[in-house]
Amino acid sequence: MSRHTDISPLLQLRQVAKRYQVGGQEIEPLKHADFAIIPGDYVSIIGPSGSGKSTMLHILGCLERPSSGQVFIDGEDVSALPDAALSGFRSRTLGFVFQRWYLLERMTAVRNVELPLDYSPSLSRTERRVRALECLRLVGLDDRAEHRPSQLSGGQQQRVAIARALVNQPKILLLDEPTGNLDPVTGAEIIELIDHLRRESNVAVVLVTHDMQLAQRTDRCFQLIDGRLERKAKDTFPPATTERAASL
Amino acid sequence: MIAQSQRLLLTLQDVGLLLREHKLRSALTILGISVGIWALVTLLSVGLGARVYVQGQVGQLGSDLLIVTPGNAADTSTFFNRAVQESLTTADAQALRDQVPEIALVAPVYQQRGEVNYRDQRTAPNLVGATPEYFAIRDAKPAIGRLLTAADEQAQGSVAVLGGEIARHLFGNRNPLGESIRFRNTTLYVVGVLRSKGDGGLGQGRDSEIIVPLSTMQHRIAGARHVQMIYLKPRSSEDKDRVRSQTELVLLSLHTALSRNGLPYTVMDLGQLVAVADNLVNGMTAFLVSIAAVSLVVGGIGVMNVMLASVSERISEIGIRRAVGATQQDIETQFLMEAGTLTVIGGVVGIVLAGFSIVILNGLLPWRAVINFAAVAAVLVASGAIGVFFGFYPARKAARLTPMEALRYE
Repeated sequence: MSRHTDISPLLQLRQVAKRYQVGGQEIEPLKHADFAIIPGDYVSIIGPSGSGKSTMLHILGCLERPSSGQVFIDGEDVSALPDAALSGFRSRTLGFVFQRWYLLERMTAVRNVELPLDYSPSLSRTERRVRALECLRLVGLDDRAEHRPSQLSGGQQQRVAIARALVNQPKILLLDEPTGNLDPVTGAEIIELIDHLRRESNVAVVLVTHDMQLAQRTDRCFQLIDGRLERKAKDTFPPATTERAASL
Repeated sequence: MIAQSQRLLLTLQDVGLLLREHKLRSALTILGISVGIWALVTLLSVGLGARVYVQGQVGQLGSDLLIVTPGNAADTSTFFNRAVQESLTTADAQALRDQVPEIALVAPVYQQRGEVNYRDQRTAPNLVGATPEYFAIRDAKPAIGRLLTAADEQAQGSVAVLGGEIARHLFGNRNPLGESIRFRNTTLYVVGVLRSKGDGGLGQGRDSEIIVPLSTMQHRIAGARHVQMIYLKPRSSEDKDRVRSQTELVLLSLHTALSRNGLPYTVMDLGQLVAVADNLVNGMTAFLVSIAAVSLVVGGIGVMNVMLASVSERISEIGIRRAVGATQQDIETQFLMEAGTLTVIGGVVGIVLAGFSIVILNGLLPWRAVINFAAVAAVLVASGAIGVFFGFYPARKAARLTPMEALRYE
């Protein structure tokens, strides 16, 4: 989507720290994290569970405010913006795919995909429906548009969630454990789909995972160690299992 | 503007889906509100109807009318003193006519309730014995036949004029003129039927009276020499106070023996009576309506309860909506509209129920409940407002969740 020709960052974290009080104890999953995403980027963040990967993704997605440091989107410091403005950034710039897909059971697949458009009111009813159906086609589910989430398999629900993340034509797609709830075969299909979407739309992809095979596919990989992001060289990845490598 | 209404429509669609998802819970909440609205609208309409009834009862007499009756509240024994109760006569009426120039019309009256029959048709109307001026005081015109005359009065004639409702009841479509009816042992010939004034069916108004000459009533039916009351109509309403004081003076001079402890009669101002009755009815209505309002508050608490449940069930939904661009305001609006929809549906159901119960009550009460459309519209708006009021806290609670709190919630 992005027409950027220079490599000025779409999204940048500067010295971001996040602290929580948990049961009277302070924990600090992020300490002075620096990070930037440029158009078309394909980045993974790995680390054991509880290392702060999700916190990182949520701060990138403006879902959570950093305790200190700054977040820039398109060069603008958004860390102190009021709620409505942040919501606007989320709606225009970012697409989320969560580990639990959070589809609304009372709505059909296509209506679930339309949901983000409810909050960007410039489109007519027909335009919204056309866009949602287009996104469903992009993830290969246009024939399931009128199905309810419970009538879809896990992989299909994940695809609906991805279509929903794409419907606003975001510049950055943020995925939290996109294969975490799926069997290996379905997970591989989702990875293929993400690759396909990147080629189609030039959307920057940031994903958080502990799936090394998935992380290996990305252009850049970071590991969260002790609240800091460290670039991980590709050759330091553990070797892929033959079966997984075959499925990729 | 278009965007706003489109958003509204979407939210309404979603509320529709939600109501379907929780049919029983929604139905019970709606029921709670509709019971409150039902009680409110029914009692309000009955109260408004009572007021119209009271005003109508007096309105057909005219509010500038004065009525002289025996007995005075200043000395309650006068109400039980037979000498006082039987002391008003046609002579008093004549004296008032002669001595108080501001009086336009005077009508002494003696009335009795009792069974009247024509062949096998029966009814129990008010049989009013009155002089011809009574018709002028009550603004009564004949629909067919004639009114009573001075000649009828003089002759103690066996004639009667029927109220429109009575005529319909006894004679159906038949022409009553010249037919004879019986009241106790007296046969009366119908000489006229009054034009209906639209208070039919109430069992009280002129439409359900039978009027006979006062002399006939006194001497041939009741066996009495006195009258029960005297209607006085002043020439204009400005004369009312003067007529009243002059009337009291004249009566005092005519009944000095009975007036040792003050005048034993009451000169009632019908206008004042209406004001008192009006206040009474209004107070009663306000009391009943406030009881109904309490039940509405209880219904509102039910709405709040359900909305709180709805919010905590849908925390992850709130999270996802926030993640895809909903502002706090959007979330708040959504839950407020959900609550408002519940209560407006409750309002509509309540109003429909009230419609049914008003139809039933109208068959039982002597007056008709008045459905005031402005009040119904106000009730609808109020039911929406109840939703917004009781939905506010849950909606605010939902909106205040940060996206992360909502998404982390299991």
